[in-house]
Amino acid sequence: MSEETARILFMDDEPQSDVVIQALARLREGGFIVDFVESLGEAIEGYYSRYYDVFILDIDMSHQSIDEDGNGVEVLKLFVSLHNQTKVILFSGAGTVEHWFQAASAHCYAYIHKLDDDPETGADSIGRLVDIVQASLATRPVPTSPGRVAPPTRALLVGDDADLIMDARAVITEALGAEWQIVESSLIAALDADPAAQGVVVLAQRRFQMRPRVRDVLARLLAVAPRPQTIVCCEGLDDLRASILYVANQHPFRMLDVANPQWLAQLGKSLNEAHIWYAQQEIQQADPGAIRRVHIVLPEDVEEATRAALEDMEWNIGDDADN
Amino acid sequence: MSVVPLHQMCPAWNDVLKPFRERDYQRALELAQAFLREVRSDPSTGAELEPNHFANINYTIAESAYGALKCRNGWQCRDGLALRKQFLEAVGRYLQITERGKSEAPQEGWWQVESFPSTLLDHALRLILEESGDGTEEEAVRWVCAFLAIWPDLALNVLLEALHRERANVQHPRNFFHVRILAQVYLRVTEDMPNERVARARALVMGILSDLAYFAGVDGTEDEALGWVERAIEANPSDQFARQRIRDIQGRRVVVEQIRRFQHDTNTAIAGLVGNLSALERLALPDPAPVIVERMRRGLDRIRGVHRYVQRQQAEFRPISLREEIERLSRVYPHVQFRITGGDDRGSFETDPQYFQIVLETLIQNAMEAFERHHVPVPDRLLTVLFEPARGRVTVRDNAGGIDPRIRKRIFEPYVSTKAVKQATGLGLSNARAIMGLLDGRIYLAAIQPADGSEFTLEF
Repeated sequence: MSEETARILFMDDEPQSDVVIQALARLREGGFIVDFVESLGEAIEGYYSRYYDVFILDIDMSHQSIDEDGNGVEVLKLFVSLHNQTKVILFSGAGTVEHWFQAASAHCYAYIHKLDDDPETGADSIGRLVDIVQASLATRPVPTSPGRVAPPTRALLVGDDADLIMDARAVITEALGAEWQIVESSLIAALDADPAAQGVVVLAQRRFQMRPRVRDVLARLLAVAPRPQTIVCCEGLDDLRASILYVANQHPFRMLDVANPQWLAQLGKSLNEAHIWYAQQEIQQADPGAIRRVHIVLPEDVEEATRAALEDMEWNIGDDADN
Repeated sequence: MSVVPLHQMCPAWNDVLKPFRERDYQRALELAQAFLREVRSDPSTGAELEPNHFANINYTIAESAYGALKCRNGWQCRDGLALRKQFLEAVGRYLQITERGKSEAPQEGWWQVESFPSTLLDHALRLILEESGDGTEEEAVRWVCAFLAIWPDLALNVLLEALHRERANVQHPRNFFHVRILAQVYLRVTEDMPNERVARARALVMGILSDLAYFAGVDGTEDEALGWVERAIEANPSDQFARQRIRDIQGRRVVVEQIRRFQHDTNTAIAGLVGNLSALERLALPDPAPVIVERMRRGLDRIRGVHRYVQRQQAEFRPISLREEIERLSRVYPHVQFRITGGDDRGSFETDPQYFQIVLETLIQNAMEAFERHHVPVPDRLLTVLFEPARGRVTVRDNAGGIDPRIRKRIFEPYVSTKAVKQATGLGLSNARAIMGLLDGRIYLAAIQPADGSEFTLEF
């Protein structure tokens, strides 16, 4: 699909808010066709009703009139479970630390806080949104390698916090095996490392300063995914929103909160998953319950008989299949 | 039961005790095991020994194995598994012997001595926890129950002590899991005990589990924390701490939700203003609208900076041009003349533009107010900015009369002001200092102040 006719589905429960009005206007000025929905259900329905190049989702949907559970991150997980290269941009003025980490680990294409300017250019959040939509259209789908590719048994472990590095090293050895060679690097020295030659890259650093040089390191280490996958471990604190979302926007395989007492266990699990998904785009675990709730809107030109047959069809998905 | 100590009945036992007391545990272990084999194979000596002697021998074997393990940094050492096995087997034999002793003399007897079983259970729990895995809780329950059958109070006390010990270091992930396991073990082994003291202890343990869930701080843990506190109240209805905890958690929930909503609403409102202003800036507006729009942009950036500072948001550095920044400022403050000096004032430097603006404007506004106070005529008002990029330094000097020497040392403290009380909060420079901290820099008053004004240095 050409850029001129690219179609976007925009979900936000505050259609009258100035930021939404301006964002819609800027996107339409930019030549995109934008369908706007106000609820989670409509967004899910939209996914099935037609092809969208990009989805823009709000996180906090508490203003929506329809009583539905979930938020933009839940919808992201569902979409990525249905197709692993669905491009979902979260555009929110709220969201919690948990949302940031969950969205990154569920492979959002981008997470833009409505208040945050672009750290590189200073563009405001709406300008960033338009830029990222354009960038997403220029990003070609990554073909999945046929069959499993064995990763090199080398791990690059990057960070400046000795205690985190020591803990992460022990977990890498335990999760991947003693035959894996672990190369440690400080954050800035990692600019000279060769991340593409690794089987996995782990960044373990409590906080990333939002300086251009640090951003360069992060961008370089994260650009190699999925060959190898990159796992980022840092502190999940509200005041670190800028750096956490910067990392989330570089497409890590997993993002873990070291303030969570279970982070080492999560790192072990993530390493195994990174090993499995080396050189491939991950397919998130589908949520059959959510799929089943979807009301599929059929195109108008579907024959009446087909329509009736589809509407009568039993959806034997998930737990309800046994009932 | 023989009251004659083992070393008096069998002098060879002294050969075991010597390395044991000297903490040569590997040697003590080998000798104690050899001693046990010998007395078992020698019917005459074996027959003379009482159960308490055999209990003593097995205690020594267990503790020697434990000591050897500790000397080698845990069970993961080369023969760690073998030592662990020897420890647990000796503890098992110790328990069998004392259980028999208890059945033979249930009211009183040597088995009632508590120091040995306390140590053994404590060490058994430490070893089990060290090897944390899927079966850890089950294994711990098994051993605690074995001790509980003989010494109920002792076993529960040791378990609680272990729990409190691990809890003291709960910030470490391992200890966090250990606390959870031990707490679950306590609740399982005391489930059918009607005793009121145990009920109170159970409530305490449930409170600990509630704290743990709360401490984990991930999605859903608040519900889990509340669930545990509610169970604690069921176990001990008079538990006032549990009632207060429920009120605290529920109260915090309300406050957190209110703050979240407030932030959402202010963020959305500010983002809307930014969006509208950007839309205006893209239009060809007639004069004097562009100047007004520029002033609005500056004001909005300041609001955003303050909004971020209130949340202590980390700095986002990007290169900015100091000259452009000062030129923009000079349009906002037309009643003062700006002068930029320095070796390379056209160069750029790395900072967070919104935070830098707050610091700079704090200095400018302070100077403007001082100009007014000291009745400095507008044409004479001068602000000089000295830019030294090589030293990462910006100096701001004014000719507004200077700062009272009596408060110079306290000028960056909160609520200290040179102005009349009603005109100022005394927080401007204090906030500027805090913001410079977020920028990894500092602000200070130059040691030598100009005769007619003040001079501040910003170091980045």
